[in-house]
Amino acid sequence: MTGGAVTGGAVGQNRPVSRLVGRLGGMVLVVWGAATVGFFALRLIPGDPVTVLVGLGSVSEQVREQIRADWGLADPLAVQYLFYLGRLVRGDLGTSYRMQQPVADLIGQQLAPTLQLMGLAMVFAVLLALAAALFGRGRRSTPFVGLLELVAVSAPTFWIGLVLITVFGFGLGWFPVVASGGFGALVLPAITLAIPTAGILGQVLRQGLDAAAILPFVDTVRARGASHTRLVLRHTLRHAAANSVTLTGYIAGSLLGGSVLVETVFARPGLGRVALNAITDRDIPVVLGIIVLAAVLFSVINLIVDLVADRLDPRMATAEAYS
Amino acid sequence: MSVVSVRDLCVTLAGTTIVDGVSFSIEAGRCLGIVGESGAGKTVTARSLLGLAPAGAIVTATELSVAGVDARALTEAQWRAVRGARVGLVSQDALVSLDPLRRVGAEVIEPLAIHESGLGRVERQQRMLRLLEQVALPEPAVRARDYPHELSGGLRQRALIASALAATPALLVADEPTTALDATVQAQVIALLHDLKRQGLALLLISHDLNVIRALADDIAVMKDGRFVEVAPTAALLAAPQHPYTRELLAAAALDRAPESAPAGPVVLAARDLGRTYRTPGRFRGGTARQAVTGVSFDLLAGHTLGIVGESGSGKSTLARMLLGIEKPDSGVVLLHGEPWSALPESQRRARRGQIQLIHQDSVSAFDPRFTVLQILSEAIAVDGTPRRARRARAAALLQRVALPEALLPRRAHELSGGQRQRVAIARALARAPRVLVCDEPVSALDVSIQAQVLDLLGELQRETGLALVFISHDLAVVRALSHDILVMKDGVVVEQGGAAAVLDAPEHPFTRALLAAGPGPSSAGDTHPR
Repeated sequence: MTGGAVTGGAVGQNRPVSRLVGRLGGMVLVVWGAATVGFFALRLIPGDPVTVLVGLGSVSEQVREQIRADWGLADPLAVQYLFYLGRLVRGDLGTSYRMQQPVADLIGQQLAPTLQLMGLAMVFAVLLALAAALFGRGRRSTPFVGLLELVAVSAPTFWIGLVLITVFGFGLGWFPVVASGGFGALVLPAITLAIPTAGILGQVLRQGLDAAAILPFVDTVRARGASHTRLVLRHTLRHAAANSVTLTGYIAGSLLGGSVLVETVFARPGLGRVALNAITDRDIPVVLGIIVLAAVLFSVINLIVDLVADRLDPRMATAEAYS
Repeated sequence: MSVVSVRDLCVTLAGTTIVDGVSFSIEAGRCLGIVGESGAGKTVTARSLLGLAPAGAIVTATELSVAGVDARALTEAQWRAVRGARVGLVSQDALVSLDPLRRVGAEVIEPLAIHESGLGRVERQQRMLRLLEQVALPEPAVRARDYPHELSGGLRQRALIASALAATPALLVADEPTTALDATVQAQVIALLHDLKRQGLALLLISHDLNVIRALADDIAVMKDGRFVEVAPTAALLAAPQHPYTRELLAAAALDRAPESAPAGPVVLAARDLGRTYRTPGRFRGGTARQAVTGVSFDLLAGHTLGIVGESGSGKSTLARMLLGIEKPDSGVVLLHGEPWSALPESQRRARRGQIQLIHQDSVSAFDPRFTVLQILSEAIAVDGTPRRARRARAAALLQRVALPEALLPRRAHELSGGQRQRVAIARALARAPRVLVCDEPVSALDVSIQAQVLDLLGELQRETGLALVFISHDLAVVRALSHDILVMKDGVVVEQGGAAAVLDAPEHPFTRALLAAGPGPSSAGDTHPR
């Protein structure tokens, strides 16, 4: 223990940097892996690759010729693959032959609304979860909050969305029912997306607080004369958060999938709609683009989560030396 | 004027009386030590002075005066003004007693933030640094920015003491403050507490270890089953203990015995120049190497005990794992009955594994918590093909050999006391009829009187069966009780090796002398202060 601490201090100077470099390398690997799997899955689809890339509907022979040139289909598979990777590195996601638009443009236009939705949903989810965890630990409130969480987790997203629209949109008229572009239009969809997430996160945070409350240092803190509020806000909440942050990252990533439903229910523009349409129309270049984008998004979120986790729990940064 | 004055303190929890009519008082600059075994009610007594008795406990007293406050009917808010400002608490291991996610400096400042909210940021910072200086933490400004896990055990404990002292309490409650520390570090922390006491702090010291208590306490209270069975000034209590339980504790704490000399038998276990290196992972620089064990050689005869002493991190456990063939040495060999052992592939070693068995320090985690004693023993018995219906009788016979009643067979590990669990662990090892038993800190988690019983049991088994023991401990007194030969380790290297009498009575290496002097052991503490 003591020996480990000493060596840890000696190497500690450039550890954060080398860890960051390692993680960025990991990110590149994940994105590369996703792109590779996507590329070869495409080639596993039976039939003429040109037809596969076109998707539903038909195009002129001229466009088919264009596709063969774009994807280098005359070359051996390995060359095609390298060619495809080269394009990705340059940020070129290819062209949707159905929409007759570059995939990057198609995704780019819809990226902002979805990121806004995911971001606000995450903020709502964390706030709701914190409220549930902080106020849901009394003798009387625990069963009530627990039940609320269970409902939140198990209620289907589209149903929550419909209920919210009915009550706050049509009934009370607080928020617009359909997308109008303003912030107000974002609130109901974000809450819809946030509620199941808040249910899970709230449970985990609450369990984290309970687990931290029986750690030995709590006695020390109380023996200093600290109030319950201080104990929770300055000490145990941080322990609970450190345990939940990895889950939060996973959830934040999965919101991309959840946005498909929410965007449909609320008739919002966004990546979810694009993905859904691309899949139903078998618009393969767009599907590939979204796969790569999702991989990038997940990696970035995971990087943020790792950095936050290190800051929350300093033991994580040195844990490798002991393992 | 007493800082604390307690009369007829009673604490009941769910109908059970935990503390039963305890009375004491402590004056400024004095120390009362409460000694007793786990479950005696020491900790609950101490926590009652902070209003931190377990939730649901009912605390009553005819007098409970804490630093000038009548604490019998304080509300939670009133208690908060007492805690930290009038009474400070130092508990066992600062690794878990300080918030592991906060910097040491922030932890020391917290009582100031609570009780002296008038102080500005800069003043708090200065007070914190002065406190860390006061507890002799080297480079306070640097250390304040460290997290508890980045400090060594001794420095951590100093920081914990500094945080307890921050809001200048008149009374410090120290609950097993040195139990998690190595002997030399333990002596330093005791010296620090001694200094604080001299500066006028009243000290309530709780320990199961009489040797720690007598190094600090002016008066000693012996606690058993919620009562003080004997209270007397330290010198008087040690010289003329009145209560039989006190005498038992004293006898156990002394442990002043050596094993009978054993006849020379064949060499059962031998190590030749054993070495093991660990690499700390470093992704881009190849990592750094650490010699965990270097060049250890010995011969262990049947019926003999080899004691291995050293502080934590000295390579003792790594050595044990190599002897057991759990870890492969990087250099050197282990021979079992003169035949290759460490060099064998695991598939060939497995058939002979029964000949060398292990006793862990912590038998709670060494047992499957869902298993009953019968299942624990049966698993070991079944290895040699004993049919199912014969296992119960074998298990009962094994329990008898470790002096446990057959009635324990249906119990689970957590239902046993620490001493019973360790006996079951020994019984499980005996099931394989081993020739060598490797005991890694087998009694460190036990109370002293139980320690003595388990050591006696191991000694008896050795005399009856000619079992060879490898006995690993950081506690010299415990090693002395069983060992014929002793090997002293420091930083992975054997600094001294030889017959027990030679090593203990005429130590040559300065480290061995430091270990012997440091343990607030029977030969050093009590009459002389460990400074």
